[in-house]
Amino acid sequence: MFFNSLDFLIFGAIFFGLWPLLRKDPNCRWAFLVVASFIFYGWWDFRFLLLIVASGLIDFFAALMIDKSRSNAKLFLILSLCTNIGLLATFKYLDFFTANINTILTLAGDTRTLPLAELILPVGISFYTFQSMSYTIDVYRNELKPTRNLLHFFAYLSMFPQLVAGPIVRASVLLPQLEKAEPISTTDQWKAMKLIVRGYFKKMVVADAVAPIVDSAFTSSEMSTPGLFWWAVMILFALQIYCDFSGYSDIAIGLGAWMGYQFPLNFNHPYSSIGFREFWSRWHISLSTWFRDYVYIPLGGSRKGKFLAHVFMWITMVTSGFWHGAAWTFIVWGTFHAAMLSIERFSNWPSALSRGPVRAVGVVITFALVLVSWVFFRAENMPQAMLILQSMFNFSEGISIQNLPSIDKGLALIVGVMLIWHLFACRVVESLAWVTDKTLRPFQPVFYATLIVLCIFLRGTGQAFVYFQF
Amino acid sequence: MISLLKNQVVQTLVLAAIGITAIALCRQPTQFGMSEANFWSEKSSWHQEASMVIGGDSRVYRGVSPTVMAKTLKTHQIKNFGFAGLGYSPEYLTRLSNVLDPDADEKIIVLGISPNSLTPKAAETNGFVRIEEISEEHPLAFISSNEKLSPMKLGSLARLVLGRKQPTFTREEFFATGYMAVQQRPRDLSGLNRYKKIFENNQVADTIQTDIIRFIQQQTEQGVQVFVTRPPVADEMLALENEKSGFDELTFYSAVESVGGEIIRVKSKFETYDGHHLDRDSSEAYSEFLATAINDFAKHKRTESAN
Repeated sequence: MFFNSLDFLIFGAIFFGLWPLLRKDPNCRWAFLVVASFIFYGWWDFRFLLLIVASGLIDFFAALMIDKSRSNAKLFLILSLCTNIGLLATFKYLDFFTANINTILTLAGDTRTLPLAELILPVGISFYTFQSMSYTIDVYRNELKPTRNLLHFFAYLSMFPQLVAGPIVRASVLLPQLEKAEPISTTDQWKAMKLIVRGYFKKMVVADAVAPIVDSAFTSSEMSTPGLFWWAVMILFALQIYCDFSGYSDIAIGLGAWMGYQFPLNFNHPYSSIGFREFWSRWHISLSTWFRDYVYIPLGGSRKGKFLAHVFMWITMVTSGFWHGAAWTFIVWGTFHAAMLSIERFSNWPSALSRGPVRAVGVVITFALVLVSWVFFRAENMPQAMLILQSMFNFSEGISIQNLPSIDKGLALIVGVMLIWHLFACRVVESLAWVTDKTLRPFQPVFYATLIVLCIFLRGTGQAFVYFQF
Repeated sequence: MISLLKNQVVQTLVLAAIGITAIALCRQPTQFGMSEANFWSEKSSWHQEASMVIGGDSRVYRGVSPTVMAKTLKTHQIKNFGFAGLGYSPEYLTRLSNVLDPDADEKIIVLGISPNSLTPKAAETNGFVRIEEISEEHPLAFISSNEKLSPMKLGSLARLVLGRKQPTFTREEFFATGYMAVQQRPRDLSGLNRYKKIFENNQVADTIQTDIIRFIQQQTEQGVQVFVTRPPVADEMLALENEKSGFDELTFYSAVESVGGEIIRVKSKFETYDGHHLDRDSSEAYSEFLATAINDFAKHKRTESAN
């Protein structure tokens, strides 16, 4: 069920109504969490539950065996990794590989065609498999003691706020928290509420409102429109994907906090970054740190010299791109980011633009490059991506605003405010947070009540969270 | 109680509830009759309940009143099976024919043909399929659409909060016959700009027209009389469609008549509120016109049979 649905409101009301009563005893707490999370997840399709239960059971017992029998630890780790990667390979990537084999066969003059499996992609599979793999890897590395309680483990793996779209929470962070039932202070409740309301605003008022405009552009015949059209569309998409995904993360983190659990920050104003290194320290932080800790560093990181550091970084970024989707466009997206990171490592250009008034220039350059990368992320296929990029850099008709996408004035105002805030203003205001928080405290309930009212009356028509497809 | 009210979470929720209630109460209703949700869910579930069914896109469901038609065609049970954004497809035509009662003495299908409903893109983004999917998928999807809480534009919300008049008046009334009556002031032709781009790389498709002709032939062989009509639009829209859509009306009409279908040609002018949808008064006049044409045809046929 989606966070922005009537079903979830009812589910949430029932869950949080019962949670204070049932969280006191550990087994009761975990059982209630597991049952609620399974209801949440199975709401899409109860068959999805079979997969998460099966892979969870394998990882639970594999971790126990890794801890018990260190001489065979590698074997059980490989079992866990093969199960999780095998699930991903089957449900997410099988048809991609099949289609590419068919293309190769056709190019080789072979008339045979392998059939596509067309399996339904279980919601959140990319997230919970990574979360589960991090558990067994940390146990293997002796960084974590495995839990011996199956309910405890599944409460960690299936916890509904972050199950389907992150943040990816490490077992070392969440398992200890799940053992306790710390009281939730009114201050924590209030902080959580602010996060949840901001999340819903970003998703319902911004992301859902701009989604139809972006979708319309990508399904129209306007691929070749020169001038500012596609820059405008990509700015809207940049806002859409940020507000959609960070909005979901905010809601997930806020719900976790209401339950008494602290999830890590997942987005930290990524569009205010100068350079891609900073961007990846602020965008989808739980995923980028996962790839750093479980791919880049195990490969060798920067320990084996500069050249290999680049190679490992490219492998990590391309794999990260591929994680996002089974299509060449996502691989190219990851490759583009790898190229930008390499250029940064060689030139160190962000440091030249990170101080004083030129900071704004650095932010704009980085944002523009990120917009270019988003073309590959959003395009249906490579030809469409190339056509759009051509149009973006075609100024043969001058800087023309005639063909800008049609957008309601009120929405344009909201988009403008969000852009200025997320590119420039957010860090300035947050550096003054200790002043603003004290001065504005009495007005905060009014502000957040206004945001809730706007969520109801200005909500857009887009529906599914974008990252659910991953 | 006082400590509860000092809680900022409670304060926020109370203020939000007051704000939402106040705005909802201040909103002038624009929708009347049955709820929009029920309108679509009931229409999607019709099965063998009419002796005459009218199919087509939004120009049909907003432009043809079965109740008005029934004043002339007194012996008929009439249903309007039009859907927003409809693209004609074999699935839709099958569903349309299933609305007819097989035991009815005289069965009639009226197909409202607009060039857009004959394009591949309309078939892809098929309003009919979306409504069917929603009605099959989840009952709660329909319940959540309450007009008082329906989305609005920032400008409209600001005017409401500041107590200023809204620039447009809109009144929609939903009927169980599948018809939606619309009154809107002032007339707004800005939607025509969108239509200038709709037909780019999206011309009327021969395959879709062939499917319709085949359908008409099958229905005629089964004793169903099929009428085809092009719902009236503003002159500007008509000119745009004739120039850009690739629709060859004469050839299509010839094909319809060759398989036993009848054409109802619209010669009178009917007022639209947006260039291509009839307002309430015009849709009632158009419905009367259609009913008269069908009635005249029936009389003529009876006379011929008698002779």
